[in-house]
Amino acid sequence: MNEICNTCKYNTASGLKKLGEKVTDYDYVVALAGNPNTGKSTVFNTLTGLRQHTGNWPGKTVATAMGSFSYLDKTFKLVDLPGTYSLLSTSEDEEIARDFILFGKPDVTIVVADAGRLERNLNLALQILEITDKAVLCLNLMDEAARHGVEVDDRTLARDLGIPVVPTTARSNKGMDNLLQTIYDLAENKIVTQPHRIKNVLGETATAIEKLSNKLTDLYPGLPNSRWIAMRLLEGDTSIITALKEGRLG
Amino acid sequence: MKLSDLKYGETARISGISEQCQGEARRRLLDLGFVRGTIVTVQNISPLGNPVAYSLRDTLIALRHEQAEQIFIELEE
Repeated sequence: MNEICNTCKYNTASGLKKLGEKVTDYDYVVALAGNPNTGKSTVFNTLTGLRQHTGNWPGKTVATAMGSFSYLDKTFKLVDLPGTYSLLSTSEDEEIARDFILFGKPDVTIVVADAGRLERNLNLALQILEITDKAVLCLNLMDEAARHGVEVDDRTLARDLGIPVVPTTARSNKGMDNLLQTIYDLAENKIVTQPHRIKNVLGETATAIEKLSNKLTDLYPGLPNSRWIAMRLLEGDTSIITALKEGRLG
Repeated sequence: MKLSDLKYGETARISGISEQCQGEARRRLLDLGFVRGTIVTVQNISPLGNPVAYSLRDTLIALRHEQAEQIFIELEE
């Protein structure tokens, strides 16, 4: 890269400083979530400059890794979560991911998805959108998808999901500048999202959810995911019930 | 017909999960993509015939015989 690029305002990546493991004094917390084997750790390494072990097998990250980076005038703590297919299951690594998104209250959640296997990946994306509204879909492995002849209409996807969608190839650093800018804008509330939420709940279930969710918002005003928590409580999800009893939700 | 009856080379469409399979086990199967309407094929069979790796929604998922028995399918032409 030409030296002049480093000061050019159109080169958004020039505002990035990889801070490695130093995670004190940060402005925002950013979580990396996604299905197994979609490249979360690669995104993590690209942003933090760390060399968290990456590997092409599912279940590689079983605990969370942390690192940080600064972009423009803000410092971000980045948390690499274990890959998960769902937030509703109860295996240990999946619970780590869910608890972090739910109780860790990240300022921004990056949902990393395999562009070539969207049908499978969007399940988790939709579940995450039930919990948080500050999320960005990182459409990773674009190179692989293209090789398999898969094209993704990212604009329509963004409109349908109601959140920004950024195509990337983290391995070769493509699209990371857009991802950085989107993370920054989301954290600074410069982008307003309208996440897709489940609507077709009918009859008594809908009434019960409504009732419970209203009670939750009375208890914790400003709770962004009262409907989702109400649904989990109705399902008898023990970890959510415990969290409510211990007052960890608000 | 059950998923455990599916032979190598055959393609099937999932029609549902048994009522016997409830709670976490059911949730897990649904999360892995074993939902109604999904096309599934047998990809690999382990030396002892159990577990079997199924290909669905562009990913391989291995199931034990007991789990595959809980999933109902219809053969596709």
